[in-house]
Amino acid sequence: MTNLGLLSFFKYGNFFLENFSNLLKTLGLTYYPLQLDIVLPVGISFYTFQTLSYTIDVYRGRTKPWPYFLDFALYVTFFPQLVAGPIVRATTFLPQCREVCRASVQQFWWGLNLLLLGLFEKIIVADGLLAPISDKIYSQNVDLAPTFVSAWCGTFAFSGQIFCDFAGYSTCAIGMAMCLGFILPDNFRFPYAALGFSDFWRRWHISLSTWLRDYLYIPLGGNRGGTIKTYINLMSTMLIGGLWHGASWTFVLWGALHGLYLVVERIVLNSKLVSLSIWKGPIGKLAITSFTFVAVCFTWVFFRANSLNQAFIISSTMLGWKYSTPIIPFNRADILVSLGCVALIFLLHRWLRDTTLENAVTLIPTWLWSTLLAVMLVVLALFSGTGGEHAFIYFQF
Amino acid sequence: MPSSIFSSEFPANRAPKKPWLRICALAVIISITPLFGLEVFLRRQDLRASVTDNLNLWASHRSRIYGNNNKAVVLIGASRMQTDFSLLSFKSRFPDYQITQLAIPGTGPISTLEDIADDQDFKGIIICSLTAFSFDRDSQQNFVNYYHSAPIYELNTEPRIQSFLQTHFVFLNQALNMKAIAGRLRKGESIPKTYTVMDSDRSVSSDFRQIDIQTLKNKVLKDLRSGYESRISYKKWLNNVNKLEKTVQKISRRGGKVIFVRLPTSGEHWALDQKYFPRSLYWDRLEKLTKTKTIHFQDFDSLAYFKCPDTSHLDYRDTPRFTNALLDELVHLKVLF
Repeated sequence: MTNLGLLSFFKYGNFFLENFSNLLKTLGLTYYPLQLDIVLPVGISFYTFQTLSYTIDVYRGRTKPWPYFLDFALYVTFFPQLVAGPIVRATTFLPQCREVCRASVQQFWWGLNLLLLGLFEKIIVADGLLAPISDKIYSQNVDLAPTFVSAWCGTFAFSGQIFCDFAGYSTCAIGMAMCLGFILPDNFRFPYAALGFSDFWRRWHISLSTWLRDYLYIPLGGNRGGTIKTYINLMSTMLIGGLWHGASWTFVLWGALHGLYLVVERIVLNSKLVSLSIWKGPIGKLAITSFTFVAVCFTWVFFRANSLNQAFIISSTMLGWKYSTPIIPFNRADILVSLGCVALIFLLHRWLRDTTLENAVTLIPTWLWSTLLAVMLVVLALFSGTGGEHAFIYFQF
Repeated sequence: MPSSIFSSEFPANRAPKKPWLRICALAVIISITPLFGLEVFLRRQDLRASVTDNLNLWASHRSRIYGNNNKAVVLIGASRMQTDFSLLSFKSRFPDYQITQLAIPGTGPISTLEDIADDQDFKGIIICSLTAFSFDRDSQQNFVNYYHSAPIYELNTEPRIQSFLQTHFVFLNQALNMKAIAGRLRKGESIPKTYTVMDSDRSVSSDFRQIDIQTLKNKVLKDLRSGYESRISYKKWLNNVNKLEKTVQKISRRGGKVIFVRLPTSGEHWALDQKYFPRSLYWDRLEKLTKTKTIHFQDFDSLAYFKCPDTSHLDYRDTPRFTNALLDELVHLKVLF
């Protein structure tokens, strides 16, 4: 109650008041809520869920209460993952505090490699290349409409940006923790190569999706309660997952879309369409992966848009609707960069889908990996200041 | 660490077994070589290292204005305050004082002045470069807002590291657009020089020998004319100055001092200043209404004889002498001791 109460107040206080006031207005009642100047504590969504998992696990008997307060304080405030995850379970972190943590030589150097890779993803790809393109669509006056091409390219750019930004942060966090001798879980596993939406959620923000599965979906009944109950549980979980991201109806709609995708996927999986052999071959799998990717990109419109109005304008343009308001033009360079980057990310994910980054690096010759690291270092040194300052996207949650 | 509780979902358990020391050493050598080569090349082209100004750097300096109470000096204003006032000359003459440069190019200093007026911890001296046009210019409010919202850790480490690196390496100068440089080299053209350089203390030195002065002058005057023609009404200007008086009093009441300084402009620029903002209507009224000390460059021969090559800013070679002349007047007015 305390955890969720604090989260509700800090993150959703103004949102609830505003919507309550709007509801009363539609009923013909006038109510002016007190304007609360609430400052959102950094990372509150993450450490609230993290501490909740400890409380629930102790209550359920999955773990014993930890006897040392300092260890628990470290678990909650561990700086690599404090602000934007991964959401770490007490059952995996606290036992590491029993002994003095020391990274092995392999882990220390690999940790530094991950730190560099994460910085490159965030600063060069997300901020330097893709953010300026997606901002052309999403940071505009809401009365302006994009063209069909610019709506899709801008949204593709954002889909690349949010992956590189968030996965970049997670990679830095995991690498930094590794250098200090602590083990954090994977948070992304090449999500844009997902075969379907369930697979997507097994690969995107894994620490959140598993948290929602273990502490919300399964306690609600999961898929034990009949088909309709399963669909309701899926939708409820995704709606709450959407709301967790932010106090805005656009995030709720984003969650609702993913809930709808999961429900429709279940219906399709239960039908005879799935048994067709075409889906099991490489072309079938490519088709499913591509469809999943495009459908997920569509949901990013709601995640990124500044308002429901903007989200509807952009999404309807992507579906072919034409507006007569002034348009936001894209030049050839924007289109090439957004499509090029996203295609590269898509192909990389496809290549690494059934393996791990570590396995892939093991197979890369030493000289080649050194060169790639050097290229990343040089590019970071030369271009790190040119993309404009963008805070990590997930810091706002 | 206990690996038994961890499955393969944990990257630490999958750390590739490779000769990491060799890989990282090789990566460092491969990356340092082109960077070193680029640094040597850029220095041979007479290009200079320069700190990039941004919200973080400004906020970092804003957080350090307090010093030793009335021995803290803050400079606010626009680009003229950055180029015309030498912090080195000040520090060598007044080593007991702590000085901070908070001027921001192309903006009016009122937001910063109001913010410091509301800051009860500041009891020092504010030297504010002001012109009659300051109220029309872009506000510094976004810098002030950023300062108040930025986490403390962002104000300390990153700006210091960034300034240190940017002061020492030319290739980190953000004003040098690497793409544009590569394009010019491909065409066999020379690399354009940057005539301004910012130091880690946010002071700027302008070397007008590096640039086509006439082109720069024409641009400055063109922008000035269009700005002056759409200036705010005199009534609105007077209202702003009245508000300024209250701001100044807030600082004076707690033992601080504010002095408004009109820094030099020359030639056509000064002629336009006189045409659109006659001194008797503007500067002299400002002095009367704010009831604080002012220094107008025209009132002192030691300040008036300096010429601005681009009509608006001093060349770096004149800055130390101008600063010392200005400091003489500040001592004379008992603002500094």
